[in-house]
Amino acid sequence: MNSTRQKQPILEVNSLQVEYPVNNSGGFRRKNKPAVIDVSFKIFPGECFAIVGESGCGKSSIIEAILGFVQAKRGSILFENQDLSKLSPWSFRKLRPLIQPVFQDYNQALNPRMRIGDIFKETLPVHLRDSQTDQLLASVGLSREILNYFPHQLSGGQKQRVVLARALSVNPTLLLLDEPVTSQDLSVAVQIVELLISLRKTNNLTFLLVSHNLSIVQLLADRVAVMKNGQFLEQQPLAQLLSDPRHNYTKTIINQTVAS
Amino acid sequence: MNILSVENLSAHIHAPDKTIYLLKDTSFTLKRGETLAVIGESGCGKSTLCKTILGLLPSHFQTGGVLTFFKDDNTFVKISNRDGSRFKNLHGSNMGMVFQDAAGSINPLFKCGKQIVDVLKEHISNSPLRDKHQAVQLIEKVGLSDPTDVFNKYPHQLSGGMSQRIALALALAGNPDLLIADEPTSSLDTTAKIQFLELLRELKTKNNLSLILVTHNLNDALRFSDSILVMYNGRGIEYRHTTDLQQAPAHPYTKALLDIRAALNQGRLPRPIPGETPSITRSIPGCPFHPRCPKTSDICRDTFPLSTALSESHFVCCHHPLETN
Repeated sequence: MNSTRQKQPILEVNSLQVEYPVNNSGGFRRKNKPAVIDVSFKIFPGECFAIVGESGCGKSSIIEAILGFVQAKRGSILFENQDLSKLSPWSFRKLRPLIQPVFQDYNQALNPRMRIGDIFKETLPVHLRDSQTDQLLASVGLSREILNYFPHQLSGGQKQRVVLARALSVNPTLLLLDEPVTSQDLSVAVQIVELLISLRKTNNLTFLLVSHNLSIVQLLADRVAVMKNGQFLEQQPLAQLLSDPRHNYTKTIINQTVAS
Repeated sequence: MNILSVENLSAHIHAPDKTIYLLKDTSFTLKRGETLAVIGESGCGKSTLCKTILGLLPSHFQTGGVLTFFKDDNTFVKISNRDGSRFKNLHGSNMGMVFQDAAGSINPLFKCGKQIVDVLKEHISNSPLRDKHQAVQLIEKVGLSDPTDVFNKYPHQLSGGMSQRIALALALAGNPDLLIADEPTSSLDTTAKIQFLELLRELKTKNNLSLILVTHNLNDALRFSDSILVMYNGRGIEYRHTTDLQQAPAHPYTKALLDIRAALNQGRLPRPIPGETPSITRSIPGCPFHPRCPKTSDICRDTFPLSTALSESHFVCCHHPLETN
């Protein structure tokens, strides 16, 4: 950990604020409701930084702001010393392959009308397609025969592996994992977590993991931030967070993880 | 005293080239006032089991087996074939169901209170004023503060946890003896989930309800049930009292699930079960778990293990059950 701390952060988020328009009264005046309030954190190369919190606390909004799906109202998102929130679409596009998301709902992440082989073809360069496809499939533990299948012909675990392989196909440095195993069964979730751990080592990846499940987070994360109502309550190394939680809400989450 | 007895229940559909069994030869008994947890992975037939018990399967499904519901007055209803009217007599006043998707089980066009009053009208039929009063009481009973306010709200004005509580109030409105809850907490946060399960337990004790709790969360099953039915690939493969099952599972699949849970609770990376969960549409010769089982032998590849009673309240479908003593 100490060695990673001395490095330059791969991602640095400073005082990030994300807002969504709401229209409570049904009138013409639109108000903005903050979903992320003054959130700051750094992720160092090779590290897994996790954000834990309940639904609606703003976890996914942070990922969406990093990817440029929503515009940050305030603050900066520095990736490789460039502020993503202020880049032009063209400049952002050049950096985009280095940051790859893996979403919770693998069914919506895969085009139901495309075969798996065609899904890979979209991201791989023509002259490297065959060799790289084999390599990618091997890295996520899938056989070559699934290239002819449509997404509906695969199991949940296989679909999530395809999503992971597609994310890896553009050689990213940072993976944004938004509840990657939440909709999986326990036995499949464990397989995916094991795969993520090995991919992190072999591909030298950095993870930003978002989850409400602390028992999964503690298998992957080096540092954890606890989030509630759009704000970070605390961020600590995992072992320290589990042994010495500073906030009552963190204690509740830890107790619930043991209880549930 | 039993409330429900299920013998060799099965449900299948005819595809153009084959017959697909979504539920096969599943048997168990449920005692009055007890909670049975049905656990298993997605697509293993848990929801089909609930719908078969309630007679809610679509008309193209064929069902088999015998289902016996024992009523309060020592009479019983035996249903051996699909019989819509018999099931309908049991719905609401004898058996209630809470579905996984709360929002989908409440009509979005009517206020919550009106929907509960409609159920009361159908099953209990008091005066309109008493129905309204009873509906408000029910809303309060399922733990919602300010019940009069919730009575006048539309479903879209409620949060996920509140909607699930209204769905529970609807199921309880007919004053059933048996409540079937199909993954009632899968769309809820951890806090809301534990609150809801605690509420179910409290209501169960107060109303002497019997409960079938379908879940894929082993922790919830172990914490809130008296006995557990483990399902795999459309079959009930092990049934036992919860505490005994937790200490000494007989089926290798049950043991693998319990090992994963134990490792996760200790913060260790569990050893995953090798292979993939088989699709229910694919017919696997022999025991469906044999490609993933550490104890596989030739007989497992050829013959499905019949249900073996290891004790009065413990059965297992395995050629090589683990030592349970």
